[in-house]
Amino acid sequence: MKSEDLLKAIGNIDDKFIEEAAPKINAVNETNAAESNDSAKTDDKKLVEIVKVKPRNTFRIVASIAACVCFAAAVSFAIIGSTKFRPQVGDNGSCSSDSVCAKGNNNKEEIYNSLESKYDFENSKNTSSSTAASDSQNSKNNTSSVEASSSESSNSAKLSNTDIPDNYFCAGSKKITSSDVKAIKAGMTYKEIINQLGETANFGQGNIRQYIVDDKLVLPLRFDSLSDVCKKTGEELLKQAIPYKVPERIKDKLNDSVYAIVTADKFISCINGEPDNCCTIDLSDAEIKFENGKTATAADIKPMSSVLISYDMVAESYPGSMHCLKVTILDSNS
Amino acid sequence: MNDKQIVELYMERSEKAVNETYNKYSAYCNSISFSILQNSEDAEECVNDTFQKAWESIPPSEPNNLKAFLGKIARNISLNRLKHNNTQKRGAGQIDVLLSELEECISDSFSVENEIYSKQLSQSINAFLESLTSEKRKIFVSRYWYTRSIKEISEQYDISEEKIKSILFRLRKQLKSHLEKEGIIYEK
Repeated sequence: MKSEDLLKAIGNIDDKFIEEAAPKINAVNETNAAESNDSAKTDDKKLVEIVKVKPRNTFRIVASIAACVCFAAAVSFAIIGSTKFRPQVGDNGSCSSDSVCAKGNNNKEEIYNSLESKYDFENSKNTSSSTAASDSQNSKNNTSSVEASSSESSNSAKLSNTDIPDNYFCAGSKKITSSDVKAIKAGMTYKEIINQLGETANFGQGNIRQYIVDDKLVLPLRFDSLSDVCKKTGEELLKQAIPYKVPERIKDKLNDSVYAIVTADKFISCINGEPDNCCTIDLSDAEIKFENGKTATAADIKPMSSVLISYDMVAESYPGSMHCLKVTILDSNS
Repeated sequence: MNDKQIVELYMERSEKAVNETYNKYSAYCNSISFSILQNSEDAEECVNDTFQKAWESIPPSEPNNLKAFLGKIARNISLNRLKHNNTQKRGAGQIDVLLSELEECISDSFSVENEIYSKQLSQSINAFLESLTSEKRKIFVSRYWYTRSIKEISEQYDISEEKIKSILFRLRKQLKSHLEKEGIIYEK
C-alpha cells in the first residue's frame, strides 16, 4: 500500500511536468487511443510512428546493402587478382603476358617436382624422329619447327591448369645470350635447360617457355613435360630462333595491322616487336594469304612464322583474344 | 477555443464549457484512465467522472493549466476506481508493475498518513524532477504519472525498451537517494 501512496504523491507534481510529458493525442478523432496498439490510432500518431520507425529501418537497410556491396567487391577483387596472376593457357597455347613475376614460398625444385608428379613418365616418348619429320615439312616457309611442333606427335599427355602451381608464374621473357643457348647439351631435360637458362615467361598450360636471345631473337621452347628430353643441341636450338622485331619493310603496314610471331598453334607473341605482348588468335573469319598473294589456310600458319594481322576486336579475356580479319604469312626471316 | 476561454465558461457556469472540454481533452483523459484501468468502459466512466469533477471544482478553482488539472483528476479517479472496483487482475498488471517498481524508492518507515508529509513528499518529488534533464523527466512522468507501458514510452520517444528500463531503474535509485537526503524516508 505504501507504494500506492507514492504513486498518488507523484500525481501531485507540478503541472508543467505533466504537460511536458503529455502524449501526442488528437483530441478530435481519438476516443480510446490507449485501448490497443494495433487499432484506433490517429493519422498523426501513425505518421509519428512511421517517421520514428523509418530512420532506424532505413539505417539498417542501408547498412545491410553496404555490407553486401563490400563483400561482393572483396570477392570480385580476390577472383580478379587470382586470375590475373595465374598464367592461363588454352590448348592452343595462350598465355598471360601481363602476369607479374612473383613466386611463392616454394623454391624452383619444389615447383618442378610438383609439376612432374602430375605426369605419367612412362608415356614420355623420344621426340627426335618426329621433330626431324616436321622439319622437312616446313621447308617451304623455312620455318624449322621447334619443340612446339614435335609436341603434336609426341607425348599425348594433356596439361591442365591444375598442373601449374598457383604460386609459380613469371612475366617477361628472359633475355639470354647465344652463348647461353649454345651451352645446352643434347639429352638435357627441359627442366635442366630451364634451370640453366633461368626462369622465363611461362605461357602456362602448354608449357611454352620463351627466351629472348641477344635482344633480337625469340626462342620458344615447347614441351609436354619438364622431364621430357631435348634431343637438340644448343646450336640447333639457336637456329630455330627468329628475329622478333618488326622488319623495316613491314613498319609502314602497321597502321591497320600488327606484326607478330606465331609461337604456338593460334597463339602469337612479340606483337609489334614486344616479346611479352601475346594473345590467342581467332581465325574463324580470317582471310589468310601468303605474302606473295597466294591463298593460304590456318594450317599454314605454323609456329615460328611471322605474320601480319588485321583485326577488328580483341576480347578482354585473359589473355586477350584477337578476332582476325586478314592474316598475311610473311616470308621467313633469314 | 483556448484553455483560458474554456475556464471562463466554467466560471460563467456555462454548460458549453463541458462540451468544449470534452472535444479538446476527452482523448487525453481517456488515455490516462485506460492506461491505469486497461478497460475502455471503466476508462470512459472515469472520463465522464473527470468532467463532472471539473465542473464541480471550477469555480472556486481557477486552474492556470487546464490540461494538467484535468489530467490529475482523471488519474486520481482512475486509481481510486482501480482500488475500489478491485480490478487489479484484469488488465491492471501495469499498475502492479509500477507499484513494485516504486517499492524500490521507499522504506518501511514510509507513510503518508500525515498530510504534512504528503505535501512535503510532493514538493520533494517536484524538486527531484526539476533536477533531471528534460528527456529523463518526461520518461519518469510518462511512466509514473501517465502510467504508460515501457513499449508506449519507447515508441513515443524513439528509444529502445531496454534503454527505457535502464533509465527508469537509475531514476528510481536517484529518487530514493533524493528522498533519503530530504529526510522523507530513512534508510534501514
